[in-house]
Amino acid sequence: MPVLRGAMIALILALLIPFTQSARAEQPLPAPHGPILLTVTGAIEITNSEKAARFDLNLLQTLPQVEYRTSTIWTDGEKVFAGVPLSALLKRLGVSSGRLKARAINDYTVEIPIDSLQDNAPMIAFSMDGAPMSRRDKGPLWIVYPYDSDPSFRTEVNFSRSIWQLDRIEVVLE
Amino acid sequence: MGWFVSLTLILVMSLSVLYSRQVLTDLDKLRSADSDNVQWTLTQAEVEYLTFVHTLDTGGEGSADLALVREKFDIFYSRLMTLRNAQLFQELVAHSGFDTALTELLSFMTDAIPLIDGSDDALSASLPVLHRQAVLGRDQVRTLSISGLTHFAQRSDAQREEIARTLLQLAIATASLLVLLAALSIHLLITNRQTRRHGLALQQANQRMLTILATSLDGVIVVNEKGIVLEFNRAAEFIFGYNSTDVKGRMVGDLLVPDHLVAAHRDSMERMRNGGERRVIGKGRVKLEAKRANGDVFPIELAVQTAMDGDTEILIAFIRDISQRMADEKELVQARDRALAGEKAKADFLTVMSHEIRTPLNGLLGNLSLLSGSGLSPEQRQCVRNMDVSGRILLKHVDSVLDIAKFEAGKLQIAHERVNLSELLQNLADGQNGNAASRGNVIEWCWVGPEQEWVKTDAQRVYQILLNLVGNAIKFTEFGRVSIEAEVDCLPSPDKSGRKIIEFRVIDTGIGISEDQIDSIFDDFQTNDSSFGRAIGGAGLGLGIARRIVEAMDGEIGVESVEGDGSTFWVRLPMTAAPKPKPRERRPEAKAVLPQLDILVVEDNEINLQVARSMLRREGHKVTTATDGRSGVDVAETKRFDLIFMDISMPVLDGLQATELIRAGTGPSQKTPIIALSANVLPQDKQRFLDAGMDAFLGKPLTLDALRRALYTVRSGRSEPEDPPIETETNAEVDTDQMTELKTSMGGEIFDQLLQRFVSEADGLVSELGGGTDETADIQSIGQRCHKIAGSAAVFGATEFRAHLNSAEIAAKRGDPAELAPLLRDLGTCWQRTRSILTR
Repeated sequence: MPVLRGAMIALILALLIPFTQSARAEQPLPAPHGPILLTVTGAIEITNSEKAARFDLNLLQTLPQVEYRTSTIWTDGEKVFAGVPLSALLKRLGVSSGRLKARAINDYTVEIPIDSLQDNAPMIAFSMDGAPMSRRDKGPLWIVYPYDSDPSFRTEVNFSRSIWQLDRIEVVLE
Repeated sequence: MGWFVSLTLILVMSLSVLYSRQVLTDLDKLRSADSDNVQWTLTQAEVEYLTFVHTLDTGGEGSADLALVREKFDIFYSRLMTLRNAQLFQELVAHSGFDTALTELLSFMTDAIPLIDGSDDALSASLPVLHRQAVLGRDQVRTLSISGLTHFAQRSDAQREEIARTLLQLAIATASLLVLLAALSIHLLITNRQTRRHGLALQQANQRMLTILATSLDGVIVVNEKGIVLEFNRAAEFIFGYNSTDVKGRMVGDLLVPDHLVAAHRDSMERMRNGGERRVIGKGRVKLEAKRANGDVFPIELAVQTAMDGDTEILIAFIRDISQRMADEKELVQARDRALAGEKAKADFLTVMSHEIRTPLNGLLGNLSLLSGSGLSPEQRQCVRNMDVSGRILLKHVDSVLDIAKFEAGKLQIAHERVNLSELLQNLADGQNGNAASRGNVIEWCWVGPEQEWVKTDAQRVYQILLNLVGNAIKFTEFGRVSIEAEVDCLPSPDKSGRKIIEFRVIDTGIGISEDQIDSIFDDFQTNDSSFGRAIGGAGLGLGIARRIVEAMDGEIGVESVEGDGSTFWVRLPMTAAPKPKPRERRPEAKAVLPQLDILVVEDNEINLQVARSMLRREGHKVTTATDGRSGVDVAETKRFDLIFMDISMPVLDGLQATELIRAGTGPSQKTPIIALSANVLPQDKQRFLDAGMDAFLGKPLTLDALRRALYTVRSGRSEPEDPPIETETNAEVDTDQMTELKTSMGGEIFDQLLQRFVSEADGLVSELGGGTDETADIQSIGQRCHKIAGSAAVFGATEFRAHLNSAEIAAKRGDPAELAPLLRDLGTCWQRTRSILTR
């Protein structure tokens, strides 16, 4: 009977493991308070409104941050960008595969396959040189790659994925 | 050619390197884009403008609309800012159109910012104005797109071209690399082929070498410096009887060197290794001995050389088995020796035979001369004369044969003595005068050009040659002229001996020699047919002998003749010029004027006696003679003589005994000075003479001078004997000076008489003895007779003959027939020679 009890506990624990893991992942997303910068829809696990995860600046800043110092073909000289790695965002939302459809305010859309994302690149930048970016200045959100750090970031495809005035992401499964 | 190719290849290589780098750079550039999609940006700018304008147009009062306006304003504004800031578009600044348009649009937008950022009311109120103003910007926006378009079209083309160029460069680089590769391949191919050809050639050469070694008949052995055999070819196998496998790797000293040479071989190898003297290596062919496998030692001819095999020295030896050759050589040498011996035997045979023939001939002639001296009837005299003539001819032939034999045996000796050529020629002419006259010929001689009277040569041979030529000339000329010419050649003798060449020419006006005979005239046994039947014939050997003698004297002989016109025989002989001899110093005349002396001469030889008597008489003395010892003693007892000349060797009582008797006796001449006369006075005899009681001695031949001295000595009381000369050393057979002196002292007529007598006596002696003696002959009497004639010979200066007779006398005295026999044999020849000189 002690053997049986041990087995039972092991079984329960085993059953619980996925839950614990998913529990961590499935930590609910708080609701945003400020103006909404980013709306993520589609095949996501975590939402904080109906079928969508909305982010204001604060919410975004709760996610892991990253900084690039780089020049771009649209700006003049080196800039320091700070923001959330795209992969970190998706991870928070429980997205592991599929495609992203990133839309801009002017309805510019670009598809980014999730498996093309690296851990720290690209990022959704919300500050440039320490200050938030205004809408006139390609803000508030801009998907930026660390172009200077590797020539592989400087491709036409990446440039096309460097969507500025980002406001919507739709996660689509294959 | 090679330089050009290398240079080209270097150029190509550098090109490829350059282009490759260029390509790599370009490719690197291509890896990252440096521009966003330009077309999109520009068209998007236009769209965003139109959208903005549209919102201005349709915008109402609602805040939702105003938000839209604001949104579209921001979008357009950020787009313009992008155009302004993006590095990509900086290039278009040059395009003035773009820049102006952009600036204007941006200034409009910037001006509108306060309104956009202002209150809703203000914004909505200004919407129409904004709209109007915005619409005006339409053209600028168009300009933006279009100016960008051209530029970027060009840029795009340029990019394409650049890519094309890059590709071309890549192509060039690749091509050049290919060329290099091709060149390398070709080079390798060529080198390979060369190497192969080389290898083949080497192989062929090697093969050839092997073939040579294998087919060589000489053994080839290669040995290293330790003496170990490295190579041993087939011929060597054959010569030594070893298999090459048995020999290779073993020491040559152990196998091939005969035991008695091993030590020397080891030493020489040691020497070679230490860099010492090399006696055999590189010294050409050396005769040595070697040892075969079966132990036989055999002679070899060896040639060794060294070579470098890498860094060690090796010895290469070529060996020839010469045992056959040695055997052949030995056989040849033996054959040659046999031949030479045969030749010598022949020569000896000829000599002996001619002697054998000569001596009876001499006997014949000698006796004939004696016979002619005795009383003969005219008929008998004629017979004797004829016999004499024949005998002499026969003798002459024998002499010729002997001369030839001597010459062929290389024994023809040429004398070198001083002779007066003028005298010789004169004698010749005189001698042949009678012969010439008998055929109605005239004979004469002369010098052509400067004279050279005194020379050193063999007078007798010269005389012989010329006599032969002159004899021939006379023989073949009738009622003509025979001229003898002598000429000195101004050029020196070609043999550089410093001798002059004297040419003698015998020219006759006789029948001449026909063309077909002239070439063979100097051959042996060559006679002109027409000579048969003449009184004096010839065996045809004369010219042959003359030729030989001339050759032996390093001269030349020849003839020129025209048939019917006569001939000229010429002889060229090299002779050394001799200085004219100083006239013989007359020995100081003994000035002593002696009173007339009463002199007794005891001498058994008639001639000597005559000579002494004549000499003494000329001095003015009274001479009494006795012909033997006994009568000498008797005569000495008859009266007192002032001086007695006593010959030593006399029959019955010899001089010594006679002297003793006189001294021992009590006759009137007991105290008379006695002078011994002797041919041989040996030092040991002198004492004997003195002991016997003699006072002095004189040697024979008796000279006037000696005689006078002796007289003077005796008279003046000095009893010192003068040493007579034992032998006069002259090369001549006849001392002509002596003869001349004698002739002078006694007068020509008496001299001739005495000479004749002597000649006959000698002839007689020679004829009797020249034939050799038999065992029964009385050796002692032979000795005595020799002695007698020797004395006479001395008088006439026949020194050689005298010497011969002396030797014979000594041999006879010793009682040795074996010794005597050869001397007697030679006597005949000697006499003939002497005789011919004396009777010239």
